[in-house]
Amino acid sequence: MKRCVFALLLAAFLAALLVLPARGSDLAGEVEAAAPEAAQGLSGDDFSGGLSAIWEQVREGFGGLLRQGLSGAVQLLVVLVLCGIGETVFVTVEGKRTFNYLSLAAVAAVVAVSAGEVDQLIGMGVETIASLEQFSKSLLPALAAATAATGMAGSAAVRQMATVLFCDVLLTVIHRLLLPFLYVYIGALAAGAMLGDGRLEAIASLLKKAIAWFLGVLLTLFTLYLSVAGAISGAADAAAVKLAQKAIATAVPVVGSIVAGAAETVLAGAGLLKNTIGIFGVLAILATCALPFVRLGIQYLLYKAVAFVAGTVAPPGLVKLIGGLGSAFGLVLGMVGGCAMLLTISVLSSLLAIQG
Amino acid sequence: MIEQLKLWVLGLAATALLLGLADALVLQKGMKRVLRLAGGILLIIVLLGPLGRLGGLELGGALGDYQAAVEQRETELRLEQEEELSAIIETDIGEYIWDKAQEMGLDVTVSVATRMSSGGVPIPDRVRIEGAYHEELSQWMAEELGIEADQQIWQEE
Repeated sequence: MKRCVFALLLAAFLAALLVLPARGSDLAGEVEAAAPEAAQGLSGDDFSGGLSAIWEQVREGFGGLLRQGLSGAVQLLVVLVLCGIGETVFVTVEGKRTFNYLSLAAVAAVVAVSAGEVDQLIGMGVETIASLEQFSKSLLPALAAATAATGMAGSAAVRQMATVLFCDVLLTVIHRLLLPFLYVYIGALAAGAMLGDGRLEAIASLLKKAIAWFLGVLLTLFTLYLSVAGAISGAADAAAVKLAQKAIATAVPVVGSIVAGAAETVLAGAGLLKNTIGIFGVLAILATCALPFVRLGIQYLLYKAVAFVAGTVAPPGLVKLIGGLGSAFGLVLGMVGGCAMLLTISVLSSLLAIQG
Repeated sequence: MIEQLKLWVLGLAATALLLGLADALVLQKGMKRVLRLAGGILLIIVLLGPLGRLGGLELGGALGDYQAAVEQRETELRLEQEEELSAIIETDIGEYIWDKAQEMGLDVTVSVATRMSSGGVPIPDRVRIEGAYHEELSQWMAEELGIEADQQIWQEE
């Protein structure tokens, strides 16, 4: 009798090993197939290997991105220095600092030099956000299914739907509000530099703060909601598990042993699957954002550096314009980072969730 | 809700821009003070305006939809989980019965169907056996696995 039960439990374990890898490899395979191009070749079984691969990718691309950024920065610096020299000559000749067409020309030159880069980088930011959104449509359901199989169906549903909702809100607001605000911000900066109007600069500053504030508030709300809702649904899941354990205990002994054994092997396999999908998800998000982050970060730092260096020779309005354009890159970085953080928080929350 | 949020923020930005323009156009100090006072009040009205219109109705509707979506997803996930567990249990119990039949010298094909118990656990509901009826096996199933005679379907090949 005991040998039969043991044999049956062993059969259950082996059957589960056959069933779960088939289903698990389906789920994991779907997520890997849907991953963005930058994440191809990564694996959920090797986190440190994945990080090394991403680091190599960044290291190889860094030189080229820096050279690209430096070329634009040098052009800006030349414009600023020439403008500074021109304005000094003008003031010396005219004897006073007044409105002159040199400022208009200088701002137009700065905008002409940086317009291409600004447009390209905003476009790159939008593409990265779109890639993340597309990837999340495979990652979130697969992670929810794997998490549910560990006995946390309630928490898995809450995490997935909350992430989808907040992602939708963030993407809609980015496309319809924040990106238009960003262009208005750049326009206000340029107009303020041309006219020397402090109020336009104040409006630009307000827009910048509004964009940064919105991103920060949304992420904070999402994290808070996930923590609270996750805890509540986690408690409900734990209650459901206790009820199931009681049902197993009161079942016919042989049937109870089979059910318990099957549940244990499902749990173990699902735990592994959840970790594999979750780790791959985090690596894919990092890989997708790595080069865009580096590029935007380089542009932000270079523009701030140019503003700092040219601060001694160029007119203050132009220096503020350059600094403001650097901040625009920072805002795009913030938007991309916001989307990446939202997904990463959701994935990590699933990975770290432990059945009560 | 997103549309309302967008309109609110755009309205606020437009009001601020217009007030800024008006402030730039008015040159007399006295008029400037009056304009700034009126502009400040207008800005506060625009800022707080949507709160009065919300009334909790549309917000409640959006939250209700979200809650329904969460519950639906939870149901889907639980069903997937139950199906997976049921499949394993059906296979295992079927193999257990088949092993026992082999011990008794019977050549049968066994398939098991489960149902969810009140505790949310799959338990055997019916067994279909393709082979001649065997009383000893039938009694064994009833005693060992709790599968009574009326839950057993015997089909002679």
